[in-house]
Amino acid sequence: MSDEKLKSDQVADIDYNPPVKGWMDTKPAFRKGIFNYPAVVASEKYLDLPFSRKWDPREDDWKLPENWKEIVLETLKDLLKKYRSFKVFMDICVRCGACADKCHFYLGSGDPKNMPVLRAELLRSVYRNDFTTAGKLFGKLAGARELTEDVIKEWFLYFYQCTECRRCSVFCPYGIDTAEITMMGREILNRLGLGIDWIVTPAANCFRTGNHLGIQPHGFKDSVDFAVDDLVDAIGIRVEAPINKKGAEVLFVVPSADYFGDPHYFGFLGYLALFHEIGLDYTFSTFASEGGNFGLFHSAEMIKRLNAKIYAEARRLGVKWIIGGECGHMWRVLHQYMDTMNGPADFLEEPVSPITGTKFENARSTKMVHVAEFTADLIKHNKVKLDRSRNDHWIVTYHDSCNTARGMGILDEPRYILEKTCNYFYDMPENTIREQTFCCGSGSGIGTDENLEMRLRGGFPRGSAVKYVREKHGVNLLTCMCAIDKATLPAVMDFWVPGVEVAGVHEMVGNALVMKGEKRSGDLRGQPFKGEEVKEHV
Amino acid sequence: MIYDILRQRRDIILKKWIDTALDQYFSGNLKINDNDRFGNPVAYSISGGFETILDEIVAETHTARLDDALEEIVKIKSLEVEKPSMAVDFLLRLKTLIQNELADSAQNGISTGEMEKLNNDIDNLILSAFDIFMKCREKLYEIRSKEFIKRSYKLLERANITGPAPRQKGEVDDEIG
Amino acid sequence: MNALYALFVVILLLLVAWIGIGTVNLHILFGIVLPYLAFAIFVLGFFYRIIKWAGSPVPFRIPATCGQQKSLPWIKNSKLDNPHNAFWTIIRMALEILTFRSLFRSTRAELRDDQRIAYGDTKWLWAGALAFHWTFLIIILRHYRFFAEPVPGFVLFLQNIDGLFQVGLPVVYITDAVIVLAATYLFIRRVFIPQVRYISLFADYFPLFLIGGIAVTGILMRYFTKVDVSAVKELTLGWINFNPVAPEGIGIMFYLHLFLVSVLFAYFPFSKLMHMGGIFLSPARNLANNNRARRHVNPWNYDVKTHTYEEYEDEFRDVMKEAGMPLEKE
Repeated sequence: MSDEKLKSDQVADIDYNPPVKGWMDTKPAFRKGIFNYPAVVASEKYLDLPFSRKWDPREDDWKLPENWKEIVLETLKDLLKKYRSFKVFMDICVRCGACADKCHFYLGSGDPKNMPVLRAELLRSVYRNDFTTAGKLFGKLAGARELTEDVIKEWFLYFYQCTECRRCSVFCPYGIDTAEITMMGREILNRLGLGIDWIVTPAANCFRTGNHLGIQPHGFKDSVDFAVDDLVDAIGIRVEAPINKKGAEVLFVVPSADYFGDPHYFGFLGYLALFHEIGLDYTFSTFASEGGNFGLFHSAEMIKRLNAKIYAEARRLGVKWIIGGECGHMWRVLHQYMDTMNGPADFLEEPVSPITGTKFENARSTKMVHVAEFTADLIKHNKVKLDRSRNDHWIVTYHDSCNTARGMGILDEPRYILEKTCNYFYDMPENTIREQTFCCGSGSGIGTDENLEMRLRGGFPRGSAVKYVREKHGVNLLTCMCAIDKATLPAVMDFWVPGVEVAGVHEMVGNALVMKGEKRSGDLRGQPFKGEEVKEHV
Repeated sequence: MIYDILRQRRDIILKKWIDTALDQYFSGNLKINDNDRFGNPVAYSISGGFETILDEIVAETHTARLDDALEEIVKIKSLEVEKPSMAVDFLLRLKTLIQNELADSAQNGISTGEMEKLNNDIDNLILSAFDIFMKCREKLYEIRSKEFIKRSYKLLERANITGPAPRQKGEVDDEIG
Repeated sequence: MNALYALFVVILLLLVAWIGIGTVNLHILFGIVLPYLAFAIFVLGFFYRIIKWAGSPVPFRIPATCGQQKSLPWIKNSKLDNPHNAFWTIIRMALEILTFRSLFRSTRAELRDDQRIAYGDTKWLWAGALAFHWTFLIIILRHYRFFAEPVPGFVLFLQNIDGLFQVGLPVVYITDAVIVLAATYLFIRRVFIPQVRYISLFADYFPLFLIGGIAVTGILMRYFTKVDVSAVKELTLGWINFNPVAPEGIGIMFYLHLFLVSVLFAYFPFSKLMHMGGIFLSPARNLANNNRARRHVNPWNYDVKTHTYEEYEDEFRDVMKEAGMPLEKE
């Protein structure tokens, strides 16, 4: 209906129960604002990806390889053989519908193919048709359908309208994980040369320069030096931020947006200040100047190709263990994939905090500790002095990032830090946080400019929850620990809840941190502390 | 007189109006029956917003609540549809619904003056909705440019330190769209 | 539409059995051959499917975590929702399988704007599904009395509990009523909730009608048309002693019941009903979230093309040198 022209006689004649066309008979529609642009050829070539070509999703001809059908079926077969998750998830769904209203894209767009169950059925229907007895015998009655070009187009639209946030999986009686299904769908699409640019180009950049934006080593050094200068202005101390330093105790890996994005950058200043204050012996690496891994949104092989540099650098620099900065999908990879793919990290030591002596036993194999775990431990042991009132200009709430909530479970560490660094912290309603957290709507590589309308629709449930605490407690700051959140939630806030800013948890730490020899009048953003602004006027 | 009838039939009109809107919104006659504020924010906004709008029309008032409700609904629509006509059609539907409800009471002597006023009120809302729609679309462009700057804001501060992945010779990568 | 097809097929099946027994007298076929065949298909098919699933490895440990991880000792780990070892994973799985915890989760605390806590449809889904599966299990266990002589104590115990209310003669089993109600509810929600109707396939309605048909024929023969129970037991004991005889005069209702059961058994391995086995194998649930503490091995982990530091330094040596950064090779 929404795409048809409205006529006045149509309005007068409202049909309350229009007949429903089955989903298999509804073709995908590519409207501006709800899909992503294809990958540029140069990036695909740099990564040796197959069938790189110029094509446009809105045109009829997608210039698929001649044997595309064969490739799809071969890939499906290959993936079914490699992944029990995929095989089981293809077979056991009973379509109870418990997941239907759990997806932020369904809630925000109303498009039935965004119901997790239907997103999976897009693939399942083909699987049944070509891989199951029932499907072969009974066809449509068994929920099977022929693999056609329209099916591929549908996959492209809907597997890039899933942020792999896993919220549906939490409510599924069998734990069917749509992220897993979307990942398989994207593997297939990528083997047909149907990648999107905001995934492939960052991956290519990351492969080449170690970070998504393609910042070269001297550029990275510039960025860090700049941050050190900025920090002098903010706290009156010149901190050291070593780069590629051999023999440091800890390698510190952050998502690249931390050193150039707003508001990531202020959290980055927070890390630098904190590490200086506790005297941590650490180093950045230019080669591993990105913890984030856009391979996760592409294929298992790409995850491994991009992730390999972290252990490689840890080995080359001879560090003892690794700390990872605030990032969501980066931590999904570090927590659930890195050790399996590129481990064992037997050349590293089991992480022990040099400040508190705490052994991070939960990271004894991977040897990589989340910076929030590290900081929470510092605070618990009273190793840092914090002045909560310095964050009094913020009324804070916390957005759990999907990947760290449902692919790891780091829920209370950030809350502990926020409670120790802020006087005004209020959680959002229960069914919108922790393991039930709503996605920002832009994860998994679809946080693009061209996809803005879709993203904002996906961000609506989150926006609505923030609006609730804004109305109730006057919240004006949404904190989070994810680079994609920090990049895209500002837009969500701007549209749905104007007046709420976005910040990293370590920005709050950096603000509250009382440092030896500091000279401060304002926070890391250069805004005056509460109370200070009055003095200025006097 | 006309408003008395509307007050009596307020619940019926509201229900029909919300139902059609949700039917239309969730393509293929799909709607989530449950309108939990956090579980189903779209349905929550639409039903809450419609209620406010109808109540104000019936009460012949125009407060800030009405403007807020209108804005919330059109905001959602502005992400959904490209054309303003599609974003404001829900108000046309209300007009039709009200006319249908009043049709059988026509003989009861509804004054044309009252009818005209009612229609005018709704027409004015439609005009406001047009304005809000344009404002939202402008906001989207503003967000786009802001986001572009924010994402690389430190880099833009000191240019010339990034380099894209090496391009093949003679290859031009123009984005589509 | 799918629902009508499914209903039609079940009615057709009943007709087949009716004609087969009532007019053509195929007692051997319906009483012995088909049940054996169906059972064989069920057992072989079931294990075949499980073995096929198990044949694909679990390359990555990807549990969906639903609570606080185990990290620092003073942070309370949510052992059940984010288990860090095999023991708690088993408990998590057990509660999932026995109480459908995840389905229940979606009903928890939905805060309405008037500050009331409300529960949506999913609460009913949880209750309906739980009632359906548990009564199904109890009914199957009750049927064990046909396969053992003397009837084991636990079966008698179940029978006593089930018939606690002592209503009617023969005693009305609570489960008989509950399973019909639960199946009806599951059917009704499939038809009346638009989203669920939209996603429902023939394969979703068919088992519901089939099981409904089994329950109704069972109830009819127990309470209304009556069958010769001793003759039934003669048949069932004959099956398990591999000395089957098909006694005359059991009553047609029994054969209708038996035929639908046979169809269910034979259909089982090809259908979504395999979720009974699959739930144990779901990698998002049956793994402990201890990824960083214990390495998970991927059997097909292969080498990939990476970009090495040496290649990187080769490309950027000049600029790195200029920026005064340490180099491996000058």
